[in-house]
Amino acid sequence: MATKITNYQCPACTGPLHFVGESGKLECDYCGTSFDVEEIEALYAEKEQKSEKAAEDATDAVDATASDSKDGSEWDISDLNENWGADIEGMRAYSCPSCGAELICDETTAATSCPYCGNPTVIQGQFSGILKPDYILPFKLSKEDAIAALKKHYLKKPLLPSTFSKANHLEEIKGVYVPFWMYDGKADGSVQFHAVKVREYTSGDYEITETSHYDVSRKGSIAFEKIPVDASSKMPDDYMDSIEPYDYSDLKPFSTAYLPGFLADKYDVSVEESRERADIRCAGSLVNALRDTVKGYASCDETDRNIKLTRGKVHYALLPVWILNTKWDGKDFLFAMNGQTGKIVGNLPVSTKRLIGLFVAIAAPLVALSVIAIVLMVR
Amino acid sequence: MNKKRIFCHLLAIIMALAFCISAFAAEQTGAQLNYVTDAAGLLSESENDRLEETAELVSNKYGVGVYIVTVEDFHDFNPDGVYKATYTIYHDYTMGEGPNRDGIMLLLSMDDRDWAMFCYGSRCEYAFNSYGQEKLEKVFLDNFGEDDWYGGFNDYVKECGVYLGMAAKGKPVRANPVYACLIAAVLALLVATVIVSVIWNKMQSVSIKTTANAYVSGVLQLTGQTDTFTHKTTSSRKIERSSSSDSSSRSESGGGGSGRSGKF
Repeated sequence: MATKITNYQCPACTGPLHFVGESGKLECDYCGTSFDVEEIEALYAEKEQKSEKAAEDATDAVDATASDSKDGSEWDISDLNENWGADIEGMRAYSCPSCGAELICDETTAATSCPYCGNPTVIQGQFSGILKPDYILPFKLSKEDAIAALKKHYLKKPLLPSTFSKANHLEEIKGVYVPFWMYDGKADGSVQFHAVKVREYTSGDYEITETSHYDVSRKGSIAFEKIPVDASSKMPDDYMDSIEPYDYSDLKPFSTAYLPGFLADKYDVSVEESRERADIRCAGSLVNALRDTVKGYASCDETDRNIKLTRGKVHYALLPVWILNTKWDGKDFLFAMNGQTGKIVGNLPVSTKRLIGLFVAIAAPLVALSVIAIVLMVR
Repeated sequence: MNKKRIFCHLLAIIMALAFCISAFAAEQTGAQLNYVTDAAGLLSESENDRLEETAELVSNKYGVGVYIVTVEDFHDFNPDGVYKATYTIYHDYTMGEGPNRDGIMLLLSMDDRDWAMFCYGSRCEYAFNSYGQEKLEKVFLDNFGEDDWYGGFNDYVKECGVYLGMAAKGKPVRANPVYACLIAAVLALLVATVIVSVIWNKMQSVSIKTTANAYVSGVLQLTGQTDTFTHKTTSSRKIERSSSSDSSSRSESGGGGSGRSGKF
């Protein structure tokens, strides 16, 4: 069950390093020294080679000096059971290289921090046996930015209960590299619409409405690049959709050096399982694009579609998301912020009192004004 | 052609004479026409006298002139419309009672069966607001529709007396605002509902995406398009005039006053 882990340490003081989005560098928590990602990657590749060699030497030495050390007074450990049953599924154990704590984490957690010493840790073992991410989009915004964005999200919301922003407590803020499948592809097909043109004219005492009906057909194709679909069952799909879009110009080839200081999940939803969501979006965009070419009509409704999807490459990427959990009035509220662009989403509670108050505040003057206007007109 | 021209000239002379006689008969008020000026010859002499007497009584009692004018063709006075012709006559012949020349004039133009009513002066417009004018026309238009000229004019003069009497008591004829207020209140509530719904929707910012427009590479390649006309449907709706009566009358303004006009 033990898992290989990497704890990026400062070459200067051995303090823990974490990735800082603003600078795009790994920074030491203690001495403040910052290092380029490439620099640390090269250093740790060298270290890894050395440690592998040392491990081989140590194994040989242990085998050579192994001896019987039994003294006849042993603890009775017969009740201890190694059989975890179903509980073992989905769990992984690792040892914190900073404080030595033995920790258990979710099998999809690829980067986390030690709850005892706060040391940011990349659990390299979690990546073994699965696909390596092609890309990573490094965090650009910090935890402070996420908190500020949440506060801003509360502003100009007249229906928000007054106590919500004051009394609610941020239960948890975590920066997570969420696994995403990115689909390339092409949608090709035809869409039929029913469109109408309306002409109105007066004839004598009658107003005539003449409606001309048309069968409109449009054929075309449109290509897509890197449509993101989150590959983590833990992340709500609607939240991940809502914080889009991402700016892919900042995409980097994957490196674990971007992970320290953040959580990272590995995918647990397969390419095939996620494909349907990408398909729906491709088809939707093609239909919209074709509809936009139907001009000169009063209305246009889709009647039929025949769309063929040509599937291209699938990429695997980790994209930055700040997850903010708050609690208010005994209920949990989840917010998600795009760690690159700062777009924050999350449903807010509605105060019934404020709802009624706002309605009355709008309706009462309108009613009063219209009644006064009518009375004045009648006079 | 010649006959028609002669007839037109003759008609103009007759009308001019009629106006001259009326102007001569007008007394004291400064108005150059009688209360009743029947240039179209719709009334008998006795009918004319009776109407003149009643109109004079009403006008003198309330200080608002109540006038009746009939012509063959309003275009002789103002070609831009029967309402404009009415206030042209009203002002050209300095009609009205008192220093403000308050008065109400009903004009019938017989060639195309046009009618117009012109209300001038603050006292007159207080007694006959737009609702009052609309209501007043119902009193005489049904008679005119049946060519009952005297009946229509008589109803008009009497009803003017009623309106002016109520105005003199400080209770002019006014629309009951309850229904209008109720409709306005319902509309205001609907507007408030829409505004609150928009604000409510802003509280919900999470939804599944159904398009991928942000990830389109290149542009749409349109490979075919057809627009085929299939059929045509037609619907018609009778135009509701501002008046609730069956006549095609409408409210008017201009000439320093207000009024109504239409066909009878």
